[in-house]
Formats: sequence, structure tokens, C-alpha cells
Amino acid sequence: MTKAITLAISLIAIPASADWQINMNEGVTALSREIFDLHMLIFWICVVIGVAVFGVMFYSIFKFRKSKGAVSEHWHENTTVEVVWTVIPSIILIAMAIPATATLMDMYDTSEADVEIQVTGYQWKWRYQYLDEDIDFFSNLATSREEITNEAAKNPNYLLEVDNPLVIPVNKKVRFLITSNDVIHSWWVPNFAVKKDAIPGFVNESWVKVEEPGVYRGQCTELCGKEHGFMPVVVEVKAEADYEQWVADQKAMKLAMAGEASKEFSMDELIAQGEGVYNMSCAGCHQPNGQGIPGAFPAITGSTIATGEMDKHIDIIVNGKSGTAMQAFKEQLSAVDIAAVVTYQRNAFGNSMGDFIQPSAIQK
Amino acid sequence: MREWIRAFVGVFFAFLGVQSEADRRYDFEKGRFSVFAVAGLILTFVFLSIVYGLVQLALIYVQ
Repeated sequence: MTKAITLAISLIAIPASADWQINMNEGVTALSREIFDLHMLIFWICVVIGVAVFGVMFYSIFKFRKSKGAVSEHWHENTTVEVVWTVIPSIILIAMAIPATATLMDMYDTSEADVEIQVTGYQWKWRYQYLDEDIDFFSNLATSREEITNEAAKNPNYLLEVDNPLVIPVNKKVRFLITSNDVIHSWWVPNFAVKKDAIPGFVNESWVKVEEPGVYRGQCTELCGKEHGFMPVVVEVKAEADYEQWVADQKAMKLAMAGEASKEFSMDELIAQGEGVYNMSCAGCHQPNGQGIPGAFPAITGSTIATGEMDKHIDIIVNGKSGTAMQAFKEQLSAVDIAAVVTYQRNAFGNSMGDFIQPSAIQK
Repeated sequence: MREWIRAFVGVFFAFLGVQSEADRRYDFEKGRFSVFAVAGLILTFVFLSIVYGLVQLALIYVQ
């Protein structure tokens, strides 16, 4: 009978443990494993203490119960016992602090990094600037609005996918300088173990040396506003040769984009590109249908800006509007993207200004 | 001398947070404030030295 019960429990437990976990991730770096081992060490110390303390307590409750005629003692103090239960926990705490200090020292040792990347939190996206390379880009949520509003089936990486992932080389020490442009965010990839707050005006440091190429996903973990859940972190770890190729491609792409800015676009081309830019950068507040949220975010439809002077329209996108949630997009969008989204807003959502602007006319 | 030893023992147990009611009563009735203040300052310095030493020990362990 006992064997049957044990077998039944194990059959239930095996598939269940494969589907979900309650323990922390072991991660993919030496540091994450060190943190995991420290966590397990402290966990088992706590288990032993818990079993010992509650064991004595429950045994005493059972053994000396009232129905067996036990009579409680009445005494005020026992200095020896009090000293013992004060000194022993102190020794245990000091013993635990020694390996914990070792791990903390490793976590804070950002010296001798091979690659340095500034990570800046924005509402609601991440910006990655490679300090040794001329690479600077934004990483936006790539999950479609249809999936978010349940109009399309959700893919396995729902809300954990971006347009431009952070790319780092395998087996190289990468130092992150983490800050924020607006409110407090927090940059976290569970497989890297270390989570750091991105605070405006402060630079926090963190580092990682990933041993396995692959794609690692995380999230912003500091409540940062309406779209806090929609600014994931995706890190692509590449073999060194692939990383070098990616760096070269990024530089080539930047040159190509600079060339694009001087190209002449038709109105249809600008509107087509502007729709994509709008959905990526504007729809979060002004809504995919351009109706905004009354009292919070103004509508694009019939807006005095989007149906007013072109220069003022460009200015508010480039420089934002202080005192409101309208942020400056000059760093986030290229001249082509700004020209495209301005043209799109003036000729979509019921607006029909019939005018358009060339990227070359955008002054950032 | 006996007064000083009692004061140090009293302050040491105060650091631990443990003291018998009889000793506490004795310290408050017979002890001098100045002796306890000096003992308190000296043991504070000793305590800080121990903490500093433990941190150095942890750092040695790290390296």
C-alpha cells in the first residue's frame, strides 16, 4: 500500500516538476552558479535550524501535554540558556557572512572588462550604447498589439521579444553601466542572476561572462509606468567571430542609415514606414487607433499638433513637451523615422493634411 | 578594581542583551555612572575592532 502511494506521488511529481520550478535559476555564468550555490548553502542551514527548533518545540508540546499531567514551570530567567541562544546564532550568522562576502565581492568586481555597454532605461524600452564601438540602438518590444489585446494567438516568447536584442560575445567579460532617462527601471536577466536598478542620475554597475551562446530573456523589474510589462530584455550571446561580424554589420548599417537621411521619399513610402514607427513608438500612449486615452494621452485624430503647423509637429516629436509624458524622440528615432511618423500622423486616423516632410528637412 | 570588573561584565552582558535581574539591580544600585560610561566606551571600541577583524577575515577568505 505504501509502495503504491509512493509510486502515485512520484508519477504526479515528475511531470509537474518539469513544467514549473519554485527555486531560483542556476543560470549560465560562473557567478550565477556561485550565487545559486550560496543560496542553497544558506537554504540548507535554515532547513537544519528549522528542523531542530521546530522538532524540539513540537516534541515538547507532544511529550509534555496537559492531558499527561504536565505542569508548567514558573521561573524568571536562565542566564546560561540565554547566552547560549544568543551566541550560537551570532556564530552561525558570521559563518554565513564569510561565503556571502566572497560572492558579493565577485559581483561587484567589474574590473578588466572586455566589452563595456551603457544600458539606459526609457519609458518603455531599453537603450544600449557600446562604449568602445560606435554602436547605439534602442530595443523595443516586438510582440504585436494584436497579441496583447487577444486578437491574435500568443507566441511562446509573448512579451519577451524585442526588435533589436542586446548582442554580446561568449566567454568575454561584459560590463554594464546601468542608468535611466526618466523613472526608475531595473535591468534583469534571470540566467545572469544579477539584477540592477536603473536610476536617473546614477550609474550602477554590473557584469556578466556568459559561457553558452544563446538567447537569454528578462524583464524590467521595477514598476515604471503604464507599459512596465512591455519592455523586455533580450540578450543574444554570440560566438566571438559571429559577434565581430555583428559589430561590422551594425557599423555598415549606421553608414547606410546616414545615406538614407539624404534620400528623397514619396509620401506613400513615408506613410508605410511611419505606420511601423507609430506602432512601435507612439501607440503605447496614443493608442493603435490614434484615439489616445482621454485625460491622460491626447488623440492624434483631429489633434491641433498633427493637423497644425508642420514645424511644431516635428518639434514636439523631436524635443518632447516638458511637464507631460511626451518624451523627446530625437535620440530614439532616425531622421527617416521622424519624417515618416510625422507624415503618417498627419495623414492617418482621419487626419488628411495631404502634406509630407523629407528626412533631410528634419533638424535634430 | 572589583567595581571595574563588575562594570565590564555588566556592559558585556548588555551587549549580548542578557542579564540576570539580580545583577542588573546590583549594577543600578551600587554602580557609578562614570565607571559604566568608560567601560561602555572601551567595549564599544573592542566590539568595533572585532567587527573590523571579522571583515578582514572574510576578505582573506575571498582572496
